[in-house]
Amino acid sequence: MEPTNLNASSAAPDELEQRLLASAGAALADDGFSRRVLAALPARRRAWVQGWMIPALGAAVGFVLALGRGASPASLLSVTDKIGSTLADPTVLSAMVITAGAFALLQFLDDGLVE
Amino acid sequence: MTPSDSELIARTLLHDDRAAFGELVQRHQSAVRRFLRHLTAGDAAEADDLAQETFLQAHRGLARFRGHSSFSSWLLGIAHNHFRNARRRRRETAAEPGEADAAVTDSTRASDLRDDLSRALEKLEPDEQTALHLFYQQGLTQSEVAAALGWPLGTVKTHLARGKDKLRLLLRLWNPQT
Repeated sequence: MEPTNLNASSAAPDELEQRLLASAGAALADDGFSRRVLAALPARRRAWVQGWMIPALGAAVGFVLALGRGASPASLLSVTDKIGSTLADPTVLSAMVITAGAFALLQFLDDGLVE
Repeated sequence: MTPSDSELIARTLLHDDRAAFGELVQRHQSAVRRFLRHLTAGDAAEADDLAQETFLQAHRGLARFRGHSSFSSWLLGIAHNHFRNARRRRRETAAEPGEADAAVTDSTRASDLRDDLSRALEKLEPDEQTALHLFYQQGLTQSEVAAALGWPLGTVKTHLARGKDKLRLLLRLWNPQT
């Protein structure tokens, strides 16, 4: 093997380099390749399904099930009063705000907005 | 005005914009498919399957593209990894064909100059072929080749220089009059 000259490519292309450059060939036509790739992508998340809908749906189902098991609407609604008074506690409210902020940050990172 | 790769990437990430990603595929499919055809020794079907996997993985991992290298060299790096994984899986299930005969035969001596170059390229180490392909035929810079393949820049320079030295030697042996 001849000694390697690492600086050989710094000058103008020699005959070999010109032949290598000329052998590049033409660009490939797409010929449906892009369509094939797009068709293989995973299904798009439906835009109308939002994260907040899942717990809201769960609460609604729970409300209906409770009514079905004989609970009165008045007793169920009184629960909201208890929740309201609990949230009025600054410690609980702070914890809720921090949790919501953490979820929002996770969503932000998951969307790729932060590298 | 034609949107840049960065704009298309942002639209894909923010709005799951399939048209934007399709535009990226259209822009870069030729480079990725040609590179994979080179790696698979011209097997267009296998190369296109690997190219499809490359773009699907790029879509999944688009948020991890940091823009330190060009989008094109990032894609070529993914393509190279897919090719190596596919070869590894193939080696695990079947014996690899033997090394091509490195000896210079009479028939190769008789070939014309144009064929000589491709035949000589086939005699090089795979890494040397890959470096020469990306640098001369895909037009990447040495730094972009290094980024795409995950090699140190010095390794790229060494493979390029050694590859060219070997090519010159082979072409001189086959065509002593030139």
